Amino acid sequence: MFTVINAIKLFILIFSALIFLMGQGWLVVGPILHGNLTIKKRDTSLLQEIPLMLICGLIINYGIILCLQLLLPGLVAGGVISLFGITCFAVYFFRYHYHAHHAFTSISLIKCTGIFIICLIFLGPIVAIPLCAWDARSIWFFHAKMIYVAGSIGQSAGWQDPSIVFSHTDYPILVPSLAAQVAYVMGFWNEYIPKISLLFMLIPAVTWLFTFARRSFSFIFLLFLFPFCFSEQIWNGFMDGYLALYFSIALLLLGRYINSSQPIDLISSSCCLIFLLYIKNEGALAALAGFIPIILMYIFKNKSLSAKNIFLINWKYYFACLLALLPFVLWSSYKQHWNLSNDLELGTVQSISNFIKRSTDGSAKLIFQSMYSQIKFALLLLGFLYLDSIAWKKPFVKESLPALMAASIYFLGIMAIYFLTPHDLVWHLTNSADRVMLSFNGSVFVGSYYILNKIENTANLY
Amino acid sequence: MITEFIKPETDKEKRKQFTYFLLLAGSVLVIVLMFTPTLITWMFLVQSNTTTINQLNNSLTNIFQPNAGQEQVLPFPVQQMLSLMQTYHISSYQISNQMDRDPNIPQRIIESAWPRRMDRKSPYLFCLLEEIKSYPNCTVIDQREAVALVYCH
Repeated sequence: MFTVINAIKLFILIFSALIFLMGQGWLVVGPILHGNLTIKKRDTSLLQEIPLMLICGLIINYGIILCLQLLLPGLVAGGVISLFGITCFAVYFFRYHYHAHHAFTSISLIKCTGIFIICLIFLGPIVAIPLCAWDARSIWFFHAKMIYVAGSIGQSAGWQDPSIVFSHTDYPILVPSLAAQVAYVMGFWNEYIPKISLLFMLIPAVTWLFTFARRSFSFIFLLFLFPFCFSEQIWNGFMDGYLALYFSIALLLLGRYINSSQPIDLISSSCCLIFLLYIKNEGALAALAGFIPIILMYIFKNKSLSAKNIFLINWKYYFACLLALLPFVLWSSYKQHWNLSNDLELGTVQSISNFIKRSTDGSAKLIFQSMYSQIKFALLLLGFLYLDSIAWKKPFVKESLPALMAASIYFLGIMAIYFLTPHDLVWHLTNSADRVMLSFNGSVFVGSYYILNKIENTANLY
Repeated sequence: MITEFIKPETDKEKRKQFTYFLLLAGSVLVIVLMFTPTLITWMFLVQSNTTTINQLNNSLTNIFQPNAGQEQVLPFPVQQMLSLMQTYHISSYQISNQMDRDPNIPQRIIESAWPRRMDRKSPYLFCLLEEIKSYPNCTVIDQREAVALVYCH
């Protein structure tokens, strides 16, 4: 009997949190996509809208907590906003999707079942395995506990306590604050319940993956790799897996935008890239690596338009981007006020001197070897598929270019960080190279997917 | 030969293309399964979910039980320190030098004991049993199997 009651409690918790996030997200997604909260003006599928709503909801929720600093007022304000948003979404849903013939076709039901199964498979280890990974305990969920205990993300959480210098208190706190909210709502802390926040990170990504679903080998390939190639990083409380997952999803959506020119793909891709800023500090590099191909693509696509016209046509997207960057600005200003500095000391004289020293003492070889050992199989797959694409006379797959360009920029950025690091280089490489290169591997897999997809389409098998 | 791939004109050619693609798909699958963590992840997920389903009652109880899971993840001395802190309502503490050098203790006690804070000025000190003699000016308040709580004036 208790098992059933607990299962129902877990279901209610997950369901209400999703509604909470979706409601907040719709208030941004509705106006951006349709210029309205209840009227549909663009032909976008619900399956593409829902993950975008969830990600926007996560960013808005984070923004509210950062603005108000306190958990309870943040939850209340978020709840009120969400209630309004979800009511508007309900009107929109019943008006355009519920009675529409295409809304619940067998294909969309299969896709929803797929999303449900994948999330359920990961729900097991997420909630049944306690927090035991080192960084999860010492950094991410320790920050969550600090926020939960203080009921605030402010100074009272204890960010400046001298005993916790090991905990990288300057890291973004989107997931910690979400985990703290979950514990706050439940009224207690343990080693299981805050991990549910990881599920809310996973669901949008899996939903986006299933928007690529079709009866093809390339989709099976995609599903085999994402999110499974990130292994325990999805459930152990590290953030590297999620950083790599959203970096990959952003590039996947960008590839589809190049092919189909659907604005929702570009919006979703940009949203994922901004979201990276709130997962980990490396997210700033990943976001930069992702936005460079977007900007280049935009320039090539709109050669005839002047910069002024480009801005005038898309002003609401830029405005939404600026709003989405607000939590980043807020957290950066808090960090500055509270003197929370990064251990890498980037931009200091010491870091430049490290760079010069390592450029000449043979460290470059060590850095390259360590990084290469983490990416060699992803490169093997890419090389193999690229040779195949030449054999099939399709050597230029334009959809794969953003992913490969972003991967290269990210690789160079990470390499530069290893050159600058104030830590012992061997220690730093041993403890982080495998995790930070997940994002590179993910983007190379995306590039490989588009090459495979092209070959499959050329072969005209079905 | 390559032109044949692109413009299949007969069923035979189409079958040939299909065979080539099958070969490609098989090779890709081998690379993915052999050289990425996908297969290991799948095996772990199957094992983990089987255990969760077999112990569904326990798993669900743990999720909704305050402080659950500590005994599974924290080193034994840390668990004993937590127990002592709860018994004596200690709000700040410090640990001995030997404990501080143990890579498994300082971070684990700081995060698990939070909001009780580690403070170098706290009169309450945790040390290993064999270290008690190193603190002659301190009074032993209590001790567990591996850890002692001492009060230093």
